[in-house]
Amino acid sequence: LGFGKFSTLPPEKTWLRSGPYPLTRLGIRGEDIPYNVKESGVGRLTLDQLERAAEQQGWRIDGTSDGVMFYPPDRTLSGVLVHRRPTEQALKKTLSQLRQRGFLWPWPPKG
Amino acid sequence: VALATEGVIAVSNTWNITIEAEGPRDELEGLGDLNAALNELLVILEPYEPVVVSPAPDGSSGVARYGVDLTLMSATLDEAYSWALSTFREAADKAGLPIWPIVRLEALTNENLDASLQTPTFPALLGVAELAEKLRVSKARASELAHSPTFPPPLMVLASGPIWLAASVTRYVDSWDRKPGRPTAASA
Repeated sequence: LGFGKFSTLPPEKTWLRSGPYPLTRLGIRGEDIPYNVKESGVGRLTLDQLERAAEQQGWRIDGTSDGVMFYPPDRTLSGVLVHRRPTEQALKKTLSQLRQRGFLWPWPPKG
Repeated sequence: VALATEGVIAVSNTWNITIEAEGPRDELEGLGDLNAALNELLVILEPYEPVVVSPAPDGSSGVARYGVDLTLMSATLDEAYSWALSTFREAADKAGLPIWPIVRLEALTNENLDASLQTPTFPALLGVAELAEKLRVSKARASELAHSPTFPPPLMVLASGPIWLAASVTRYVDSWDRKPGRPTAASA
């Protein structure tokens, strides 16, 4: 492919190293990233699982045209909107945001 | 990784950047459909695997917040912050959301994000039966001990009985000067 040192890259390729970029810009999506379940402790998370657990914990789930909105039982707390076909990375961030609003996970908690 | 090895890109870290902006709640009323605007923000930022934070339905203080969680790769944190902020502002403007001052800006590496998800948000709890088992006494004796002044107070008392934080009971047990035999009337 002719890839070598940075200095040999044509100017139009400089975006590759000129600044921050999303993983998707390199054609990498969350589901493509090797994911070690044991290390993360999150397991193979799905949006369905989160929705079910949230409803059982008294959350309200609403749909937008492209996403799913989670509203905490406490109406003074902000909602969380995620794409309805989220990457694994987006799901992890969603779980993190939900937990900041009192969401319990794993659900149901182990006795 | 392969591209980095071949020298095509600089070695970068993956950053999860949380940004929240805050402003007057009444500015959101002029938007019409707030959920449509937030959905637009979600779509515009899709390459960054976004999670959008929407304003709380009820706010007593007259202020509201919205924000995003973005994932991007960058060699330095400063660069990631700067890029995420400008991307957020541009996307919010395109989505028709008000441009408010930033009140929260936070970055997590993937390792830290995973670690934060492993931290329990709900503490281990004990009822009287579990307390008796932990202390290796009868339930009656456990209740008796729980009323002693040195025993940790319960987290809450339900109609079915008190509940303790397991960690506080463990600390008590570790320092418990247990006397063999039946307790005397004075010690009970």
